[in-house]
Amino acid sequence: MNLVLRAVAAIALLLCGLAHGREPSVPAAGGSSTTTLESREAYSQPSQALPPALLAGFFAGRSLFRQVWIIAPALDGEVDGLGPTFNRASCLACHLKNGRGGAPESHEEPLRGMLVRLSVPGIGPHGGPVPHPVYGDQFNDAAIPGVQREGRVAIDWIRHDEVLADGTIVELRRPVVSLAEPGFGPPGDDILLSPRIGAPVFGLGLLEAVSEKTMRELAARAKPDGVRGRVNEVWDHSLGRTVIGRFGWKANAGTLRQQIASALLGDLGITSTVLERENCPPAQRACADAVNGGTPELSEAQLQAMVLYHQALSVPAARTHDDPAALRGEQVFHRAGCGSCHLPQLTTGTHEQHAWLSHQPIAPYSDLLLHDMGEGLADDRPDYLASGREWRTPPLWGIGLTALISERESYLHDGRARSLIEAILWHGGEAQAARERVRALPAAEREDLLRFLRSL
Amino acid sequence: MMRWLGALVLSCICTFGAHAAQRVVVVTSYAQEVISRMEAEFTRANTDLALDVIWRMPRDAMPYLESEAGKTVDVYWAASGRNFADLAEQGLFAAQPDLAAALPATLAGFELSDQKARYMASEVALYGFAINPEYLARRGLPEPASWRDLADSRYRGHLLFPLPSRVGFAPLMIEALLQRMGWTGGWALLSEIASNARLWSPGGAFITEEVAAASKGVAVTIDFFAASAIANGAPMRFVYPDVLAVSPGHVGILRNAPNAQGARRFVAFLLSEAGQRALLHPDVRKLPVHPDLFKEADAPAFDPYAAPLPAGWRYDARRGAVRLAVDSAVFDALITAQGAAHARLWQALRAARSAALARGDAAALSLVARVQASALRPPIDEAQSHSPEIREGLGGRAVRGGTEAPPEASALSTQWQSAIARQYADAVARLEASGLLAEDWSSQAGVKQ
Repeated sequence: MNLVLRAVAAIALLLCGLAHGREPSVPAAGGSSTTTLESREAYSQPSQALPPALLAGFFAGRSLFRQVWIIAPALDGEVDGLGPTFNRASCLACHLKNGRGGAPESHEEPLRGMLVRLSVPGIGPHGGPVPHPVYGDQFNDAAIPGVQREGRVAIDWIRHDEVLADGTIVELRRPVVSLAEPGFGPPGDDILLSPRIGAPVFGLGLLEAVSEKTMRELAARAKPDGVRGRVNEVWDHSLGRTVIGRFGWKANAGTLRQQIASALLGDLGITSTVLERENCPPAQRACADAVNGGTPELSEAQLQAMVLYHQALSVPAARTHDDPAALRGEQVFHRAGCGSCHLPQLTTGTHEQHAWLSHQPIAPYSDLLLHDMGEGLADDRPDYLASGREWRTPPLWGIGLTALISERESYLHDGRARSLIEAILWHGGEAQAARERVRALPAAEREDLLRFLRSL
Repeated sequence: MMRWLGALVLSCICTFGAHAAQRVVVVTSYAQEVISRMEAEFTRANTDLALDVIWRMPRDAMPYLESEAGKTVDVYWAASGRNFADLAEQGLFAAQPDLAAALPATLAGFELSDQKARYMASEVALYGFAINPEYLARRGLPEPASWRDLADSRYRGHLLFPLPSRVGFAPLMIEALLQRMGWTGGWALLSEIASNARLWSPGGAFITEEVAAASKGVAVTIDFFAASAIANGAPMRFVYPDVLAVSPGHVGILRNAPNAQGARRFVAFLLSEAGQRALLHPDVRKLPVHPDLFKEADAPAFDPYAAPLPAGWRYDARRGAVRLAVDSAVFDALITAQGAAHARLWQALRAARSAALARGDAAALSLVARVQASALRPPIDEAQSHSPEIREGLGGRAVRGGTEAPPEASALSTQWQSAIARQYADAVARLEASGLLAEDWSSQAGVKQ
């Protein structure tokens, strides 16, 4: 190992928190990929387990994640090819500090950390959604000069109050999505829309390492309260076959490589070795005729660096152990039945590429399975096996740092929940019994529960 | 199901209730954090306007703005003084005297806005030292306060210095030091500082991350990198040194802006109190242009407007801008390309000076000074540094006066490097012949100054 790599390796170890924090004494949230850092950089730390030889790739991936992509042609040919249509010009724009995005607060505010998936009824090739014939599978509200943008997304909020058992009133809101100023005419009344905020991007290598066997066993095991849970089965372009889904709000991507390539194409308009064709539906001729940044625009080496970056981002350690209220809240969490789906403990299997991600005890607070979450959260847009009412259990690890890192709280797939209690109260379907137990909690126990969640 | 029918009703309400937002097209090279913060603040206060951001590095922005595509652009907003000066010379900006009127003309001897108000400073950044106090304390090292301090051999192995030919913010810092300290004296100091440093270039950990992680104790850098890291929890401090170097970020409205009114509103926002305050966000941490903001309770701790300055000194931006790439090439010839030979030279110079001092031998000290001056003589003198022929000889971006050295070594830069290598070898040979160096001087790990 040369001197530079040694130096970088030393830095990575230190960045992982040894220089900043204390030794973890609670079960490490991300196994050997856990950071004790509690600052706004807590989602941005490379895994201590990452072999030094891979650190250069990690930093290359970080650079691409931060890159504001350029309209082609450009002198900076390695990072050109934005669009022709797109949502945002960088990954960072929707995942500030690797955290979550959010929904607009008003009708006029543009989408900044959110996108809208599109389809029409039916089952597409490989069992996925059928893209809209004119607007494709994702609404792009931005375009390069000379290309028509698809329009603008406007979000309006419908609000109502929920009353808890102790009389506390919690205002909930749900979005109504409209496609304003459609660039290619009204899309028809059979269009299916699903707004999705950007999700946190740390710890994903560990989730990729959870074995299919484990997920199927989790789906098959008996659960209380009518909780079921099932795996999604999705097409993977790289592998050329159907795999189980684990990433995305509906678990509609099975590998990080597929997830990242899809996001690059759908969100930024960047083609890759996985998805080589620009995201230009047939009706959008100017889009199809626009100059691109190469074929593909993202090289295989760049894609691999981006995948490695996402695989290697550490998980913040839970801070439950030194907080009595949080420890009490942990008991409430399990008593209420939250842990049936938000599983606190999993063990990763064998990661095919990276042994350092393998066989790690982790605390994602997720079973990675699809669950019926009821009508209140339904988007009525099927995605492979996921019905319009089903959503993947999102991991809760690191969720307690949301307000600090993202400077706002936006939970659930569309960012409707502005606090953890709002998010809980939106749970329905298989989670209805757990939600009702939380609703019935005395105020002190409810606060303990929230304290526990904020300690993750 | 959120069907189009429902959406159509809402969009009709929107269509009849309000006009679609007008778009303001902005070309910039700012980082996403800066763009996001300003875009959010601006559009929140101007709901009838939307920003279309076109991102281009400074070297790539010029041909874009000069081309047909540039005619679709309303605003150029970036930290690239040379680009703004060139575009203004070409008459591509529309002067905004009313917007510029409230801005100070200079800061620490550096011109901020164009005197003809064709472009205005919208933020400023200064150079200095990111330090890890714990790292320095553990090694008994004082916190450096001046550029001269960094030349102290006690900092050997503890410094990071940005490589000007690879780090976009560094050439202006080098040029500012050269103008303030003189061509010969400036290069001598830079050489001595660099002898203590590892040269940093992008591609791995950020320069401030290395200091925060205690890989090194001090990094020469631009303030907002460090200030943002500190605001987000990094265990560092930032020191503004004795000689200040200022890098203003500018904004200008293109003469043919399709949305001139929207452009004016965006620029007015950037220069307003709200826009200037947005610079203080932890993810941005650039310094405002308005001096008044430094007097308020939540102001940055350091007020550059209050810093002392030699009377009458003024940074010559025009002369400086054209030789930034020349500076980078000279830096590479004197330091980067010499590698171990540069380190060996300084080891010999320090050892010889120590020996002369120990002997109380004035003649020997004088000899060491002469050898040092001879060894550190830049490959060109100051007059040549402004020569178009030199820029032509270096080729690439140097011809136009960009900030970076050309990617391929030119015959001229290779010639410089060879000449400097000979100077260093000659200097070491003279010192060895002087009898001031012990036989095993080159194997001694550290030589006290």
